[in-house]
Amino acid sequence: MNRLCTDLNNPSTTDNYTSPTSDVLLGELQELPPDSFTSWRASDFGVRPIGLAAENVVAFEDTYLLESAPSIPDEVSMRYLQTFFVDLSSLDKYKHFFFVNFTGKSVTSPYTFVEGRIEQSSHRTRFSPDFFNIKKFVSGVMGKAFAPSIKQKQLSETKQPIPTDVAPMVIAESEEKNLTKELETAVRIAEECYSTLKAIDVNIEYDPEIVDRKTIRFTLTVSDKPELVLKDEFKFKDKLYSTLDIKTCEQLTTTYKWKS
Amino acid sequence: MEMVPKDFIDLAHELSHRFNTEAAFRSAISRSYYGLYNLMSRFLVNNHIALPDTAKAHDLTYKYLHAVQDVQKLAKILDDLRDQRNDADYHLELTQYNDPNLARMAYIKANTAYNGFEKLISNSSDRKKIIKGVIEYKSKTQS
Repeated sequence: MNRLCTDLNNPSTTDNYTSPTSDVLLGELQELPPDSFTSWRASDFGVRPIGLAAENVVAFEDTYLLESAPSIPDEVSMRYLQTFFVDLSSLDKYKHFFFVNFTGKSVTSPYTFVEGRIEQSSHRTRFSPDFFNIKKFVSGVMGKAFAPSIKQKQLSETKQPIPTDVAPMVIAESEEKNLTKELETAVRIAEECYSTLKAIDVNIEYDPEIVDRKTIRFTLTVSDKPELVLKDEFKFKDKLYSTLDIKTCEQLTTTYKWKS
Repeated sequence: MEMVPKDFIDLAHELSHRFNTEAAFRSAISRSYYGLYNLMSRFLVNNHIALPDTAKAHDLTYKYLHAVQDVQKLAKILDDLRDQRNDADYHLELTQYNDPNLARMAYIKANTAYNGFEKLISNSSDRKKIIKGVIEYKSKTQS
């Protein structure tokens, strides 16, 4: 069994560090030889600063690792065969994990290291709701073109470049700030409006049939009957439309997971 | 006699309440979407708002109607259902779709939006207002 280990106590204090995008992160993972290490600030994932090291990236696709971790939340269960579980092996390891879930839609396949388990590009990145960080989502997942970070520089010098066909789209800085603020407001409104809300998950979704159609999807984990959830949804939508910019509203979609 | 889109929504009700399989739940979501989509897109086409013969028609139907304040939220339901239908039809790995609640929710949303939209377009002045709004949006966006 391959495994991942951690250094929880030595976060880098270098100020010119830039959070890696998901693509950079994966790019690093697929290039890692056995017994080598890499690290990111855990704040990249919205958690307290810790380090992360990986011994062998193959562990990320090993469903046995998921099955053997009894404390992981339901939504991270082994049913997600395309989930990558990063085990931060400390005494309280189950409190310190993140996972990245990639599913494929498009025609190119930059993530070949899992031999088809991750199928193609056009990925979906998913962070545990507890660790969900709107800013990270907007800048990293929706795609802000970062200035080359130390990590990226190292990557370009020593490893293969990240495939350009998955390069994130560029959005203007002011637009990014605005969207961040809008999504934070949307999350707050959802918290106010849904009476049995347990978690909010935000993803960007690409339509498999319509080129250029992408949506920002709120997946709300709830426990009420569908009829009652719909009433909450109407409240949520009313408030969204009276609070947010119409362009943001146009992009937001809502779906649900049920948890009793 | 031509089939009415509501039949898809009625089928969604059957699938989400009388069957207990993931395939039925996923199909209920898909039928919910297509029931509502067909009502809305046919309304546009019947009122001389052209839609392309491609998948882009789905996006345009949503965008045109979302631009009209009176039907904005009904159009948003169509958009929500589109996302869910994509998952239901293409992402078999997503296990939350093995839940009758999600299928029933899709049915309720589609049925609510269908009835709301049908009521609006049965009123001549509302119907004209919607068409006027769509035409204004089209000329503004040149779509």
